[in-house]
Amino acid sequence: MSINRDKFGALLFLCLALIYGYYVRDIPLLFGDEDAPFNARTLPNAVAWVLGVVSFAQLVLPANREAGSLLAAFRGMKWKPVIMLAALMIFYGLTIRYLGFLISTTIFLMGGFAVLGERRIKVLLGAAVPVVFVFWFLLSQLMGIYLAPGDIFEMLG
Amino acid sequence: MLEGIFSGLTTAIMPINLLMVVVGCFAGTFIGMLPGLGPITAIALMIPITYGFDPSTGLILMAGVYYGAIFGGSTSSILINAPGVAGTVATAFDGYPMAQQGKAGKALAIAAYSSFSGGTIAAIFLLVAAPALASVSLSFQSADYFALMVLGLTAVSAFAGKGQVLKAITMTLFGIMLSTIGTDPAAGVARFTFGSMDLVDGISFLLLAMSTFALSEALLQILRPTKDTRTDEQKALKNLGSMKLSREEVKTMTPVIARSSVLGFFTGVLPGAGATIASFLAYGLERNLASAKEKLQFGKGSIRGLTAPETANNAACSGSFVPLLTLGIPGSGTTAVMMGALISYGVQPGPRLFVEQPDVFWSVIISMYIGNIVLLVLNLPLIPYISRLLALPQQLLVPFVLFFSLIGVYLVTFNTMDIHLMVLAAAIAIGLRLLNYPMAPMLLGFILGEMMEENLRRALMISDGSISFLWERPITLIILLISIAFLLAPLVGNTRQWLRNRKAVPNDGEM
Repeated sequence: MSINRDKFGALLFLCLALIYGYYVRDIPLLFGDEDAPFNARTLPNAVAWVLGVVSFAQLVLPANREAGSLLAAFRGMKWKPVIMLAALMIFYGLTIRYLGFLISTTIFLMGGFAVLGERRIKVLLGAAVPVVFVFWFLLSQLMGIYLAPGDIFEMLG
Repeated sequence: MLEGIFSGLTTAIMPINLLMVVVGCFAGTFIGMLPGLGPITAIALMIPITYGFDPSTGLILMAGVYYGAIFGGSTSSILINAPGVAGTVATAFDGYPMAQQGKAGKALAIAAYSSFSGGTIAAIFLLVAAPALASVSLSFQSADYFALMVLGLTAVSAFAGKGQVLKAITMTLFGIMLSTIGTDPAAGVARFTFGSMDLVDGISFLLLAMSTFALSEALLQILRPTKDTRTDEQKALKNLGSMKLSREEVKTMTPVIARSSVLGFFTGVLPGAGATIASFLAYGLERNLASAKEKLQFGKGSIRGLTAPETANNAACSGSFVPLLTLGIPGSGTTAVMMGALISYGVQPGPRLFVEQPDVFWSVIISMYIGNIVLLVLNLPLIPYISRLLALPQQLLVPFVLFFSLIGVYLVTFNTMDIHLMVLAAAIAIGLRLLNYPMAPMLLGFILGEMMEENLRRALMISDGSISFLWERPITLIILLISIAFLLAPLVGNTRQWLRNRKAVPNDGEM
């Protein structure tokens, strides 16, 4: 049996409301705040309850058939390039400080173009390098934003 | 007031601000013409660029982008029946048939003149309504503000569309949840940080807006490939035909523009309604007012059918600035993004803005006139040239959008953790979009969550912990009753529909 897309969403949010509501009690209260009409836990508590009720209502109300099944919603998608782009973004986050803005951004853009099917090296370089240099010039020279050259260059002396 | 207008005019006609109106209109038109990218993404992408500017210049640029994106969306609607944004769906009803009849140039001109007129008339309303409302709202108390925020959030959910009400409420609550992460502003205690120093300041608004709109919309272009319409659009632009309008056509358009401007402006002022609902209402109104003979023309290239939604959606854009500028409450996802940007500049939108920073307040209003002129005088004749930018292949375009989103957030904090958080937030946003959850209510919940908590706390403290503040002042009570009505109306409608369906077809208990 395939679960209805809307029901699956409601189930996810019900779980979220329960987890969020559970962690509300971890919020520390200042001395005397326990009896205050409003403290740091009041709104989170209210939101957890309301979200719980709304998502529960969505779960028990009759299914919207137009929503279709969960599998249908995720089927036929091009997941591979998206996952590769996500990996490339994480790589960009990991390397921007070490390799510096110029190198890491050039690698990120060229990698992105390649993931999406562009294989001509002239296009890869021609589209990435000028944009990166123009952007770097705008940021560092015109707008005065300091962009560190990258830890690797400092290590190399 | 005259002093304020003069100060706003002086600010708006500064060369940098005039340049920003032009840049904003062009950038907005280009992004609006791209399939899949809407005005929220267009504005979010501009926020990092505006950090170096003063608040007036930043807001003027964003307002220009907003109009430009709506205009760009109209162009795609008319030429290839592919609306770039929801607010221009109704434009395609009669705009596309006109283009098919070889009158694409005429349809674009009607759209541009209607947008210009709608935007300009609504800006005049704004000029009158905003200061009046701002003066009234100076007497508002915490309880009223709390009620207004509840109204804003419930209205967004109520106008979410058929079958989407509960989902919009869910996303609004999700946004409020996200706003509670970080240090509680009143007590100074950490909430939901799980010991991470990166979360102590809470989630950045820019990060959330960029990842849930710009990043996720760009990735969805790859994930859920739709027909690439840009080549068709360029082909259509080669055979535009004449852009001139006859006296008869102008005569037909004039009363429609007058009616649709008023309707569009007031729909835009309502929290949650916005350009989409305004354009459909105006289209519906014109069809109802039309004679039996004219009615037959609707959907086949009617001038009235094209003028009405185009006027109304631009008038609604101006109208949506009223609650933002006067009450500090955004009524739509787009104005929520603008409000987030304003707060990050250190400007708190609301009634005090009118008193304390009249130059920001008035320059934005004055720049709306200039923006409308730019759209008409520059964008319309330059549309064929702007469209050449669409020739950029998708495999190059998407990585650039990803790069601008990531670097825009990174340059604010220089924290690489933000890039990783963006990837995570974009992944969650894609999942939620595939489950058909709307994103704009989440942004609105996130922006209003903290303010709502602050006002509720203050109201409860003043009333000594009693919830009587909810009905003690008539204005609070009225606003809350309207909120309840907004919330109940679609639920009642859905329940009636369900009962009707239940009578007709027995439920098979699908899970």
